[in-house]
Amino acid sequence: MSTHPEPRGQVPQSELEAKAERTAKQSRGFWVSSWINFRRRKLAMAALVYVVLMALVAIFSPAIVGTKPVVCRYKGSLYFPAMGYFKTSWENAIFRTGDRFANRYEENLKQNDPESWAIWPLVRQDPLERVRDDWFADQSGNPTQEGRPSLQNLLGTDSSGIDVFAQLVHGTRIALLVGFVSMGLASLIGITVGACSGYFGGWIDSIFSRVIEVVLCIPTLILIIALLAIVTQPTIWHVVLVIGLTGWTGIARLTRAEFMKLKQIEYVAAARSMGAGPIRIMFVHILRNSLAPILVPITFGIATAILTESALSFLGIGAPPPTPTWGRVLSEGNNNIQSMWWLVAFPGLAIFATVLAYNLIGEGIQESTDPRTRDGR
Amino acid sequence: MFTYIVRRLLIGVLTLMVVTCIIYGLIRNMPGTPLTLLQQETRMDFQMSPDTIRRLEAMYHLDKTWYEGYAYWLGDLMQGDLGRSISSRRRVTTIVAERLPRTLLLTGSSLLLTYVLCIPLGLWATASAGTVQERVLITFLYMLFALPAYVAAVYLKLIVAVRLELLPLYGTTGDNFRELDFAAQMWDIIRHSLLPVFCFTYGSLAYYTRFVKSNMMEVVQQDYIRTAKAKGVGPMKLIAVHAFRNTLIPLVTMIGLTLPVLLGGSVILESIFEWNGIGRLFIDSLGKRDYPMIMALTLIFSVMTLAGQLLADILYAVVDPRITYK
Repeated sequence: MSTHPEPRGQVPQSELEAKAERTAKQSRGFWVSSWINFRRRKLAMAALVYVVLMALVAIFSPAIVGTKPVVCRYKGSLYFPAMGYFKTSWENAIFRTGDRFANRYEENLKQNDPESWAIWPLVRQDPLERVRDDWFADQSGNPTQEGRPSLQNLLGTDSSGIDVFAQLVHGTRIALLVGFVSMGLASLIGITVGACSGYFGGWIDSIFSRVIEVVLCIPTLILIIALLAIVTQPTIWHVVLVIGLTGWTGIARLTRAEFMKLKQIEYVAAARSMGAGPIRIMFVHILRNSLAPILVPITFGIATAILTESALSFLGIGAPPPTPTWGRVLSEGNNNIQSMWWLVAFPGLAIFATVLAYNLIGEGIQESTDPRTRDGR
Repeated sequence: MFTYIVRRLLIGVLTLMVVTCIIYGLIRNMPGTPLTLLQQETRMDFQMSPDTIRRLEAMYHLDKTWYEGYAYWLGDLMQGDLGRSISSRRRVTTIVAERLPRTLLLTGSSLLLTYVLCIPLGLWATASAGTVQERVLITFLYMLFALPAYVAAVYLKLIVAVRLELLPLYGTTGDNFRELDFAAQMWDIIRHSLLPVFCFTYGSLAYYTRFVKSNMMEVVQQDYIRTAKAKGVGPMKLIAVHAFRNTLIPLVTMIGLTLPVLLGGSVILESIFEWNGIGRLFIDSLGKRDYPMIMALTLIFSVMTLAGQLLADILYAVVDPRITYK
């Protein structure tokens, strides 16, 4: 006998080791195996990388293109005026109302405080205004009309001299916002409606089905335009809200079908017999198991939402004019199609690539989570 | 089956009433009325005296609340009267009848092209599954499917109309249309409609081809196909006769779902090509707050959506004997 006490009574060491080995070889969970499967799909992975890249571009857009310094030291304190691109009031008040810089940072910084320094964005162009001659000492102003792509304006300028590259980079933020926030709202509504009508059935199902039918019957455009017309000054947030409020029917229908299928499976009966309430069963037990198929229309929905926003901007009924969106640049390209090809080519490419990426991801999720297709090859 | 259809129709009428009521309420509560918008026009003949305004307001029930106005609209509809357009003072039905052929020219030929092309393409893709050509075709179709129609429309305008100057940039007909003889007129219409028809078609063609192919791939694995193969049926006959007939079921039902697009056209494509169809009429009427016009178009669209769904369900039962409705 060894001097060490046996860990667990009379259980021999070898059996314990065998047990440890058994637990170590625990099979992979659903999401892990789905992810491993997803990673094998080159196109879907490329699309995912693209989307992540776009998200980074959106987050760092003021540091990529802008005329406001990312960081500057002025009159003894540090400021981050580039934050103003996210929200006007985030641009430090001293630059807006205090010393009235009016976007001419370089000259004003030097004049008012010779000690000042600033870190500038990579490309010094503005998505909202034409860069004037006196904004930067070593950079001339943008052409007033028909600025072809050049070293100074990478993707050219639009008819009022605003840099297209700047508009597209800052438009990424709008696209991301529209895609995620409006689809987040749509999935919240869609999943709730679909879950209730699938789980409870009966008259709740009848009512919700009628509601879905009514929303489907109303032309989306009329609904969006009418809802946007109610607010006097629509902002991009209103557009996001309206797209979310109108785009939930597909998610609701799929959730309903999934819930109707899953509520008959034994584990639901088991959960109910253990005293779980309907809310708990719906959102803890059933939703977890139907999340994969529901994720697919949500991903496609992000593409549709971005498409809808661009289309609205294109028709001139989306976010108000100074907001830089891809659709608005494309629409201006359509109006000046005879002379300014760069206003068509680049925003069109941005919309296409983004929609394609979300579609590829959606299909990747569909194929890598569906046991019928993923183990086949 | 009969009682099923009757029940669906009754529910459909109820849905239509809810839809039109919501839309009427929404558009009546949009800022501005057709009369105030007309007043903003600078042209002299639109300037109206307060008396005329009051008379017109009474005529179009603008002086009443929106739900009273809706009741009047519904009452007129029951008598088969869709009313007159406020901005042009012509009958709504006349305007729609005038615009509809133009939209049908685009959507009808696009639907025809889609169905004529997607079946051979899908069958070919199934027959040559796994080859390089098939992969290229399917990937290309996937890219096409993700390419938004309005982006494609503007690109095509740029390349075909502006750079190569092959086709006209926009419009339904050329400027000298009236002076041309019949053959030249036809040619003019075809030239103008080529780009819009293409933009209408390619997306659905890509979708349907993939649809046919994926359905075929499923059917091809069935036992009865193996049996047919074992009996010595040739590869062409196997795909065209044995396998394809079973993929017709989902394909036929899809026809029903295309009905609203067929009559509604596309707002954005018609705007880009300045094609005076239903879609453009719709967005113009919205801008002018032309309530009777918007209501009529909404009604057409909703009826088509509901009829399309019903048709799809009925066709489903017709082509698939396993399905019956009670």
